[in-house]
Amino acid sequence: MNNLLASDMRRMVRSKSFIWLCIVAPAVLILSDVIMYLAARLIDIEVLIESSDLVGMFESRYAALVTALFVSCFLGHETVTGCLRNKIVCGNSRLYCFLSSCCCALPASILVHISAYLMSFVCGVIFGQGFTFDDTFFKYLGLRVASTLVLSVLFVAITYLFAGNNGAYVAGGALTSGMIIWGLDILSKLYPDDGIVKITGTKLVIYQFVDKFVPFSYPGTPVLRSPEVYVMGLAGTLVVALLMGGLILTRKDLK
Amino acid sequence: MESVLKVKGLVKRYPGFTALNGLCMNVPKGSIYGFVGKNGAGKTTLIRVVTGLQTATEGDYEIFGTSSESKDILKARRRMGAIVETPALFGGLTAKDNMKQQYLNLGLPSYDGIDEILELVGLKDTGRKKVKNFSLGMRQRLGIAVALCGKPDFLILDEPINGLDPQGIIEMRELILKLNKENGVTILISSHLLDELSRLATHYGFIDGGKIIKEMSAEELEKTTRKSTRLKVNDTQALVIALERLGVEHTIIDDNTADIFCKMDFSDLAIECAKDNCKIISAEEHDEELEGFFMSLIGGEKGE
Repeated sequence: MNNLLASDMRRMVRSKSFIWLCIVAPAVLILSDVIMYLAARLIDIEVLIESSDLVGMFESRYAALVTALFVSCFLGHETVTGCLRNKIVCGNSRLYCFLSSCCCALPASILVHISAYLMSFVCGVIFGQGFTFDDTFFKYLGLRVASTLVLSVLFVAITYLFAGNNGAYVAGGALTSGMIIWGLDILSKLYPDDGIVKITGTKLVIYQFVDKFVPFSYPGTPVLRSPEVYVMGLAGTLVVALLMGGLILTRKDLK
Repeated sequence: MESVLKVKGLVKRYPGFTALNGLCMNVPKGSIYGFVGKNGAGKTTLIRVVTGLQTATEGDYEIFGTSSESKDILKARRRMGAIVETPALFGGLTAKDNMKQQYLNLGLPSYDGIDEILELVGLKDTGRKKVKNFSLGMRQRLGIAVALCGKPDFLILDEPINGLDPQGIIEMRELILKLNKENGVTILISSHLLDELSRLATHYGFIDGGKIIKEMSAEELEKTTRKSTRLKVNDTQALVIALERLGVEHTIIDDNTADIFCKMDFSDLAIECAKDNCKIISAEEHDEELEGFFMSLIGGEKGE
């Protein structure tokens, strides 16, 4: 598998999607922070923005979305153009192709976090009023990174499931966007301002399951759950992703 | 004769459609194997199965004597290169970078040999030009170059001359012959451009309805088929009367064209034609033996 990993890594650092990941994505983050700052100034000139509010304001969901878009572009291109064939035809196993792609997605998602945090700190220094980090911020940091790492493997599996058609380009990003939007609804329903949950029955069970065990919701969840819940959610998603990639992909007919 | 690829009773079913229906074939070592069939006959499906892109529903195949059921089939595929349908290339990379990617895919220890392969296919001077700016012919040649990485002993080319201009077709033909004769590469070419295939192939496999209906060498094909002379005339009805008087076997192609199947003195034919006011505009030996043979095979099968 080392040969495939070397091939994928080499292509990754030369790909346009990687340049986007490294340069354009942090630039978008800075822009969003600037807009937030300007909006705050326009609404109330006296408002004080905590630097720590800026740091960590966007990076969690942003990291998942950017990772999804990167994986979709980087791997989707390989599957849609047929370049995945070159690997298989010359005797590489499909499982190794999948695992190698996962190994490429992992450092990419780490890179997203590093660049996002660095940019957020820069914005925090420029636009904020000093840092007052609490323990929660640092507790969430590991969770956010772990969530994005696991999700990156899921995105690889989803992209490979759509191998050969243009769905590979959009599936990961669409899923993430959908989960982010749905996640906002889940948060408002399960953690209402008045503290009374009004949804019942199957909807409540589904919302609680997604909130607890689907890593898309972790970065936005305001309540720090027990570590067991997070471990179960992350491990479960990882197993689903590996089963999807490892089992279904190895049987899929490629064009 | 030693076989590079041996296919035994291969079946590939899709929902509601059987693409391969118990296909059996042998590709002899050192041959240029012309894989002939109309669109939808199952050519590309067989190539996809053999290259590992799809799995067979039933049956198996051997590459260099290694069964598809064996775990060593992946090792056997390392001795194989292929272009399936269109060349699979990264448009944002240069020709050399695409080659390097394939060298890494193969796990080769160095990039030695890339320049030689690019020179062989005539792409050594493309420099920093990205593949997305290549012409179709250049892409086809680069596709072959990628398939040649790792010095394969067996090359599978699926419709390699589709879309090429006449110059490109000639270059591709010379390249294929060079690889076969000088490098000893066994080549399987799938094509429905029969005239072009007849200039290359040493062996043929005719496929229809998902199975091989005939396998033969080029020598056997030559013995089986007849040469024809294609006549252009002003009136084929008058020509038919003249040919029937002479007892010459013929086929009418259109209002002005006919094929005759015998060697004869054309001055005699011209005299007979003149009697019926038929003018011969041109006469040339027509090399349609492969095409005619294929059509007779397909027709025969359908009639059974």
